[in-house]
Amino acid sequence: MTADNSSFVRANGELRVTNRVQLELMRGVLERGVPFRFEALGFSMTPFIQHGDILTVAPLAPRVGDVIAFVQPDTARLAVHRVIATNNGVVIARGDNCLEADAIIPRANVLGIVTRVERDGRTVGLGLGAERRLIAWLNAREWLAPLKQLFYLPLRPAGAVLRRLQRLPRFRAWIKRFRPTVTIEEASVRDLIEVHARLNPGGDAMPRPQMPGVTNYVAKHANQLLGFVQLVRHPKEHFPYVGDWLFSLAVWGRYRGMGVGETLTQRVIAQASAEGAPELFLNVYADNCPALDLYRKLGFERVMLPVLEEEFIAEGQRNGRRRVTLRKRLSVNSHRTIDDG
Amino acid sequence: MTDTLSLHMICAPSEDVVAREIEGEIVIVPLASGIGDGEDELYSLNETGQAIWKHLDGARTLGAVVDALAQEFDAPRTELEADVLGFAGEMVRRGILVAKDDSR
Repeated sequence: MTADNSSFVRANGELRVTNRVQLELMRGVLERGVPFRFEALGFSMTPFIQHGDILTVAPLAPRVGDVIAFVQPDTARLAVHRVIATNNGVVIARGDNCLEADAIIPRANVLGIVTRVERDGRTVGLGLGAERRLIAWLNAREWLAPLKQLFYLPLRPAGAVLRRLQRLPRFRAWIKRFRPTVTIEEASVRDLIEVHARLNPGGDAMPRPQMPGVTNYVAKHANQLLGFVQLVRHPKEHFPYVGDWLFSLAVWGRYRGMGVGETLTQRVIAQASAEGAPELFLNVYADNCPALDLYRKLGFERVMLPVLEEEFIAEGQRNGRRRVTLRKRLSVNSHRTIDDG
Repeated sequence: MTDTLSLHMICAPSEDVVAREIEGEIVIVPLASGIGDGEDELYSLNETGQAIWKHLDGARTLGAVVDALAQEFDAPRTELEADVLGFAGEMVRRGILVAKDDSR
């Protein structure tokens, strides 16, 4: 046992603040009668509490409308939802953005109530004031979701116009010149929760545990996520998926047409090349023309992997839509031109 | 205060911190400003820090902690003493531990 340096504390940032860490610390702090401040991750309370907001939870008794921090009885995870009913020592809660109410929550599982929400350094009041009872009332009667849709209705035509523009080569060339600086980095736990929620709306709240051999990349601009891609290195046992594969390329709607997908794909190509992979594979829907154009431009070619081909033909007959496999041959030195150039 | 720490003293976690052992880590949140701030200063101890922390029960002197560690680790006593005094000094300076003289 030695201490090579004078410090006995791990360097800042080495601690992974997981859901479990947050839960245990919150429990410890609230038991002392002191409020706890932490970062909320997830989308179950959107729009009143958003992914990445900083919440303060105080050890107070919950009433209808309050947003509570509690331990989910089935998963033992920390969650933050709104109380829609109380009865005889139990609480029924529901996320403002959830399709269903939570299971009945024993009072002992409730840690405290959210008293403050901070977003981008400012306190946000909406959702915690007198309106909180109305929000709970609406959500208990299934009226909150239709109301939210009504609120977003005016944005729909704007979205349709943008999607049309994004298909025009001239718009794409123009927007690429003015696009914000995009950085590609390995996804953090926080990023993965956001990606998972975007790719699985209405699905499980949390991403599945990470498989070995997978690197997740996100495209970001000033902490804002723009897109996602995975490099998966499959061992022989995963046949017919063997070797390096690019999966799950996705760019969020409003950032399409700016070359974000291309930058993400190039990152995966560079990484696979740097690791000495001879080739990189991917599957893409045969009718996804923008993606096919992108991959062809970057040197991917159609290949037939017999087992997958059979599966995709059957898929086409079943759904009227099929995937195809593309491959790019990698030269071992190609990463130098991308990484060092 | 830290430069007066000696092996006769007793150190214990301050009332102004919450320490929890979570997934094999000891994580410490200061409560100094009337709030437990998971977004500000969280401390987690490295292996040396954890080994020492577990013996700081508020009853044992730092010398007794060194004795206990000597049973656990195959290391020279002078090295263990330096680690324990170094750790206690740093934690007292950060307000995580409080020290008192063993006047018994």
